[in-house]
Amino acid sequence: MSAGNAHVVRIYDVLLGTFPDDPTDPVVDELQEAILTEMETAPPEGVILDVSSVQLMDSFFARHISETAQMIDLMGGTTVIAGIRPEVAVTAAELGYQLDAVETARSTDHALEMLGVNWNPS
Amino acid sequence: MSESSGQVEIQSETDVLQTRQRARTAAEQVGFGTTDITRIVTAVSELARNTHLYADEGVMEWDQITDNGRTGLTFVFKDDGPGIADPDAALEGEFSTSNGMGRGLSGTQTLMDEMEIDTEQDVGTTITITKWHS
Amino acid sequence: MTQPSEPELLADAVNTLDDLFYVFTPDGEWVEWNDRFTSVTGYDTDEITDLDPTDLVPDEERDDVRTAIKTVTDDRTAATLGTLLETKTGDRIPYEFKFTPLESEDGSLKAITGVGRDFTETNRQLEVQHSLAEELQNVSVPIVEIWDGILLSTIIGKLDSVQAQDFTEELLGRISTTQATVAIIDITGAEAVDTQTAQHLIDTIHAVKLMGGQTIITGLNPEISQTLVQLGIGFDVETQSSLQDGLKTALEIEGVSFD
Repeated sequence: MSAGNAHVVRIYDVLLGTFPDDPTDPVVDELQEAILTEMETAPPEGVILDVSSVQLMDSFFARHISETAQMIDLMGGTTVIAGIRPEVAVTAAELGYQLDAVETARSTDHALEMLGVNWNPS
Repeated sequence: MSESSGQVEIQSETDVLQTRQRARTAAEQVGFGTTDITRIVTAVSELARNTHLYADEGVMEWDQITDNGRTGLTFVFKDDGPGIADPDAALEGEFSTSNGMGRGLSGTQTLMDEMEIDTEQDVGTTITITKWHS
Repeated sequence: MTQPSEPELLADAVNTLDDLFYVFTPDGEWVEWNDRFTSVTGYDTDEITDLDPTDLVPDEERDDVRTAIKTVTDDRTAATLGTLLETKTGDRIPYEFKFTPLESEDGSLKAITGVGRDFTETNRQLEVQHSLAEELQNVSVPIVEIWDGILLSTIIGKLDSVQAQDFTEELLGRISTTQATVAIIDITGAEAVDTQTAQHLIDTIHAVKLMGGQTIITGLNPEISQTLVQLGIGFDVETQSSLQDGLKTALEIEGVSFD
């Protein structure tokens, strides 16, 4: 299933949502929708939000992520945000973003490891 | 055509995207590094979104400026919206609930070097932000 | 004008000087010179009389010599020139020459006199000072990957706000390229930082966390601990008093054990 330029994919028991480089509000909303729909039908262990393409995170984006993570938490899942770029990490830190309900991972691979998925294509 | 000065009307979500792209190009032209470009574009995104959300429509103007040998970039956001009730409190970041307006402003000030707010209730708001390239 | 009380002693003294001593006419004819002059330049008495002052420097320096001498003849003021002395055998030695006008009682220019000093050592010292100054400006915090996935940064001495920002960019960039998950920042040798710099370091720690890493600060002293606590360090960082413990913790995080 996809939402405009954002995609949600299922890998075993984990949902992977990939954000495009300049996520607009509608795209972020659609992604949130897609994730929640998937969670209702077959709740996964965790949700990975891949932001490795995202070039900037303003307070609106950060709030969306927080809300999504809180909803996932309510539904019994773990959220991992993966691949924040260095310059975005600095900006986010300087802005004092509280991404409390979210775990962070260096990459999608690391996120999968964190969620206990042994992703070894052999 | 120089990208380091210009104007964009803010009336829709697409316009907000535009402000980000134009800000990025302008910042690249001035020669800011990746991290500073991200700071600038994030600040612009905040203010553009605020304008779109709270004032419905407004305009962003930007210009490259020089002072004592250093170059900088200034962005001015103007709107005829409802104005900011308590700008000082907003800058202090006292809006801990997700009132996008408040959070955005104090964050923007952190990212930029200079910020000026001129606001009057029911009349409108003008916010000027500047970042200097060392 | 005073007369030398012991002319022979004076002559000996001038000849013993380490510096070159010389007198030449405004037309460029050498009149007097000391022993050092002959020994360094390599020219003997006969050869010197055939020389013009500009013959003692490489071609590209000749205009400078002419200009300096012109200053003396026209303005009747002394001139100093840093240049290269070219010996008879073609060696080039950094020298600083002074030219002073020697006037007759009627005000006409009798001759030009001066001293030449070997500048090699001074040049070398200036170069060292210059590169030291440059190094200090470029001082960056070294970052080393000491183990797979573990980066170690050592902050020594002072760290200003600009250096802190450079450090942040460098560290985060390295985390990105090495896929490191632990960043040890050793501040054992660091001096107390100002509030702005401390804030930058805290932002760095938060940024590392956002990138999925874990920061360990080692070598804390009470002073820096206080500053960090006051600025609200949060739970994003582990602290250890010694670098050794920090390394141990880092390896544990990476799942490495030596038991």
